[in-house]
Amino acid sequence: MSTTNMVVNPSSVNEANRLASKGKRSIKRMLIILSFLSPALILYILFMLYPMADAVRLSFFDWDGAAPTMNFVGAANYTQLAQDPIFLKSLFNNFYWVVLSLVLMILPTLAISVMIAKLKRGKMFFRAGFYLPSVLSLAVIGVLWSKIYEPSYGAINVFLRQVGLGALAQNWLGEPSIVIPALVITSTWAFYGTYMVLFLAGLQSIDNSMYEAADIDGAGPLRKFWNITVPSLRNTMNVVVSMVVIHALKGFGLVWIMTQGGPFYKSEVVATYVYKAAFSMNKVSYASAGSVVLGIIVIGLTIAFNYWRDKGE
Amino acid sequence: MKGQYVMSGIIVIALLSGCSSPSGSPNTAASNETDPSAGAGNTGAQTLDLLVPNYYNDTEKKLWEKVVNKFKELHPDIKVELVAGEVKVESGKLTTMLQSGVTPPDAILINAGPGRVKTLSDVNLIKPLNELYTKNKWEEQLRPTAYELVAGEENIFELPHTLDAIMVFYNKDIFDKHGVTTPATKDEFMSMLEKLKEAGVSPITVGARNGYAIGWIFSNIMESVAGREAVENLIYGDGKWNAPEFVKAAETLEDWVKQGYIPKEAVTLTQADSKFSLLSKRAAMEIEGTYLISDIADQKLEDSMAAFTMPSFIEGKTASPTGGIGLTWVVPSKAEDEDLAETWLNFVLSKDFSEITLGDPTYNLIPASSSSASIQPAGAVLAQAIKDIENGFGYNPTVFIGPEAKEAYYQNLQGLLGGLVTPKQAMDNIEAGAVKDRAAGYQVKKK
Repeated sequence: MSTTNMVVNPSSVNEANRLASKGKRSIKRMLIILSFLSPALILYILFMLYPMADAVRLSFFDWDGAAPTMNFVGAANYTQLAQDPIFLKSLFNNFYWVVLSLVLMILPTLAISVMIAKLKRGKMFFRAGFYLPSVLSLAVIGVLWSKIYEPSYGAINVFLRQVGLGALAQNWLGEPSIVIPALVITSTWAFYGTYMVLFLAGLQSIDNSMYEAADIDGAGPLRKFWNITVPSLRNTMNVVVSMVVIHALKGFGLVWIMTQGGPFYKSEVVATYVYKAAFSMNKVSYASAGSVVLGIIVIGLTIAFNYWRDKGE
Repeated sequence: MKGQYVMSGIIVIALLSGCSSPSGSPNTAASNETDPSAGAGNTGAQTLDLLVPNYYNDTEKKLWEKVVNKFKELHPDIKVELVAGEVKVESGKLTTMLQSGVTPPDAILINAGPGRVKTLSDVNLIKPLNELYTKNKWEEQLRPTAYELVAGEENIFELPHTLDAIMVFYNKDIFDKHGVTTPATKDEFMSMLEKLKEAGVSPITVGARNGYAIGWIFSNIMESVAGREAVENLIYGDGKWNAPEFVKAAETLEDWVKQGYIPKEAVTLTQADSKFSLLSKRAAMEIEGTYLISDIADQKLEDSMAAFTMPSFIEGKTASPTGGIGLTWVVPSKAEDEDLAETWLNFVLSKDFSEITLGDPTYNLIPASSSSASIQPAGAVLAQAIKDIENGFGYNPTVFIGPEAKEAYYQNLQGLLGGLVTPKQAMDNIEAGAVKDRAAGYQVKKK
């Protein structure tokens, strides 16, 4: 029988204990972090990631939304979408909406924000007043503007007729060339308060000494706006542009309430089209494919814009 | 540290419990609460759960209350829980509810149409009622037309509740003021439109933003211009939407817009806007179903409003109001108590039901039961509508066509009204939708 004497190095024991204790602390720390993150994370997984993944899965099947079984059809839904003139028209309308939103939303909102920021008195009043539409529900805004656009007794046409400009009165939601701009104006009115608040916050962070220096150099208001305000608002502008683009692409509520995509698909956007496909035409898988395409476009554009912004910096 | 764990654990549990199915908690609670009464249920106190369409107005709500009270009077051992809600299959809510784990009502009154009922029956969300038809002799208790429309397939999944009669509602005050009388021929109809237009009155209002409403007027035009046989062949036979008679019907609609009989702005009006125009005398006529009667009663306009059938535009023919089954009862597959549903459905077909509904001048629907045929409705407009469908009725395509054709139908009729598509293109587009439906196996049959 032989015996082996083991010689234990006290320093290595200490090291092992230290590592074990560190590992334990790190697990504890991770558990704490997870426990705080989990409420939001669980909700996010349940209500965002899982439905998104399921929509992608459904898009490869042929399912009517009610049948207990569904057939795998591969990319057939996507091929069909690529040949669907109404879907393509909806996609075009979405991009048209994005362009109009960027033009109508950003510059006027920035101008209003700058003017409010310069006010000596009544800043709070104007800030609250301009923000007011943002607290209204989209459904209320939709109904309200439908009445404003109403061709016979709507406020716009009544006003135009009263000031002798009756020839300009239009069926704002019925004419193919103006229905999308009319909807975008409503959307702008509904959301400019939110962007205004972002711009105001950005404006407050600009160092006033830059304006003082510009004053000493004799710069005029436009020059100061262009050379100090706009570059200083770069980060805010990026956020606003991203939000406007995403919002314009996923817009559904106003179109549904005000036109339901009509007349004759002239205001159809992808969101309303996929809704109809899913619930009126029982083509849930086809609608899922449409949603996935829109989702990819939104994500792609957002990533591309952020990449371009980071590169610029 | 322990406190942090406990706190975060509580938050997670609270959020997870908040995330559980909204139907879960109430159902559980209900079953706990009703445990004691479950015994009572066995001794006779049962609850009949019904889901009916949202009420248009208070008048309708009161009528349903009257109907339920009568049922309770006849069946004191049955409690009735009547809920009004969204019952359009197209909205997806009904399908979702029937597919979910929620216990559905014992019977649901839905907007009828083979397309809607088929969506539910194809996936076994509703029960076939063949045995109940045989046991209760429902075939004999229904108006023959109503039975024919639902009995074309091997299984019958619905019990018709009402028949639609879509006709021309007009404002008598406007007609009297401008010396216009109800027309009996095409020429009289056209000269009436012209006379009203010349008098500065908007002759016809349409809420074209809602597809079904533009479908109402076009169904009347199809009946008058193309004739019932052609429409019947389109729905049940091998007729095509782009056949000359239907293109002619589309041209008629387009022409009425061009002539100013229908304002082009109608393309943006909702059905509610259009109804308001008629009832507030901004327009002389609206093509609508008898559902309007309860609004007329609600606004106490019985003396000002009346209805007539659009005359046939075909020499020697007569036209009828268009329609089909309006509302129909279905029994969910997961319904708890089929016996209660059966009792209720027998009541709906009974003379008691017809007497209480037709005896009320505000009632706005034509019962599908044969027992109602012998009862004179208290309301003049409903009496007129029932008289006009005595010799049958025309078809409202919205109720019969498949989902692809229906979407194309709504959008292209809107396009016609807005001058955005030609009649031929519109009919070609609808036919293209119908071809897709046929390819997907959609075909309606009748007995």
